Amino acid sequence: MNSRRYFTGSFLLLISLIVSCAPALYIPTLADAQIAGVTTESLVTGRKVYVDNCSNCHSLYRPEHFTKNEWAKVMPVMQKKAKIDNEQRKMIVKYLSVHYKDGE
Amino acid sequence: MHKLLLLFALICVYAEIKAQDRVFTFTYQSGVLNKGQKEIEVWTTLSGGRNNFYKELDHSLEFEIGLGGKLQTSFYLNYGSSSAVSEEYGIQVLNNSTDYSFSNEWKLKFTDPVADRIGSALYFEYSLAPTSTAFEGKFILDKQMGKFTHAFNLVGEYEIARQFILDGTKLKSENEGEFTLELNYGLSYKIRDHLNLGVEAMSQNRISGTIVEHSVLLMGPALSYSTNGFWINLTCMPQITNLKGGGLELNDHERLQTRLIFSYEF
Repeated sequence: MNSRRYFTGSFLLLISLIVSCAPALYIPTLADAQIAGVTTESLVTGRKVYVDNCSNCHSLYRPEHFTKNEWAKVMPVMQKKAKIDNEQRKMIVKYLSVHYKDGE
Repeated sequence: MHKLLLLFALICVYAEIKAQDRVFTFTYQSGVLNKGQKEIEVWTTLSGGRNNFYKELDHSLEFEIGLGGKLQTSFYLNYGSSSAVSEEYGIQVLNNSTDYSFSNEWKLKFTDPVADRIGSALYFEYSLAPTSTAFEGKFILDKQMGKFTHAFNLVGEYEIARQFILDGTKLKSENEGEFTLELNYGLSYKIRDHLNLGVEAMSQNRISGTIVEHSVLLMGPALSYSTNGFWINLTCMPQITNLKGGGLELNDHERLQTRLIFSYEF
């Protein structure tokens, strides 16, 4: 029984470690809003639209996963698939634009 | 040439973003299908290596559909065939059995493994067969960090099976309940855009009242390949140890469990 307790304890410890170390998708701050040239509320809405519409089909990608050009190319394709309108797409792009990956 | 390179880059990015998230076979992740999105999954599980030459092959055909609001449901048609040596009146005989059942699962996602600190979901399933009924609940946690995916499940299953006993010239039936507690953990690393390699571990515990009757640990490699529209996952889990006494428990548990899942999205 000791080994079973040890095993269960190890599982719980591992989950605690993952939770404590795990970064979440960035939550917009005032500084982010200033970089994007919009309000913080607008970026927060962009984040919500991104999470609500994209996470059910595939894993969310952090803004820094793709460059500006890569995001610009993939967004119209994904817009059709997720059935979001142009306004929602622009909000998502604005949210992602604050932390794009450097480069073309 | 420049346009060709751009087109290639777009295809690569698009293919990467379309890649599915499910990278394990025994361990569930929190993801659910989007509203109206449908998937057909074909499951094959081969288990064997008990002391009585027990071998079992299970197939499930699953139809999954996203209902929106982070809820998904699915329907399974299950077919299983097993064979084992048993002793009747001092003579060893080979018993073969075939099972058919129907299952329906519901999965509700609470948090996302990327957007939130940890992804989480609740899962409920019931199965109906001519001589048994089973209820299964799962608490699912998962996290994606860079190229690594972690998933953890706490699973409880209660099965009520109808037993038939010969009473004189008549058969008497009585119901027998069995509770199984399972812990699953999976860790996977994205080697390439479409290929994940990892490890899955499972602790199976059969509980009667407050007593743990059996407790075994299985662990083995998990391979996942996905591309546009379909994915295929394979896990081979040999029994590592009997957590209740050491060695291997081969009277009620298998030496090896292997599962292959093929899925097609439409």
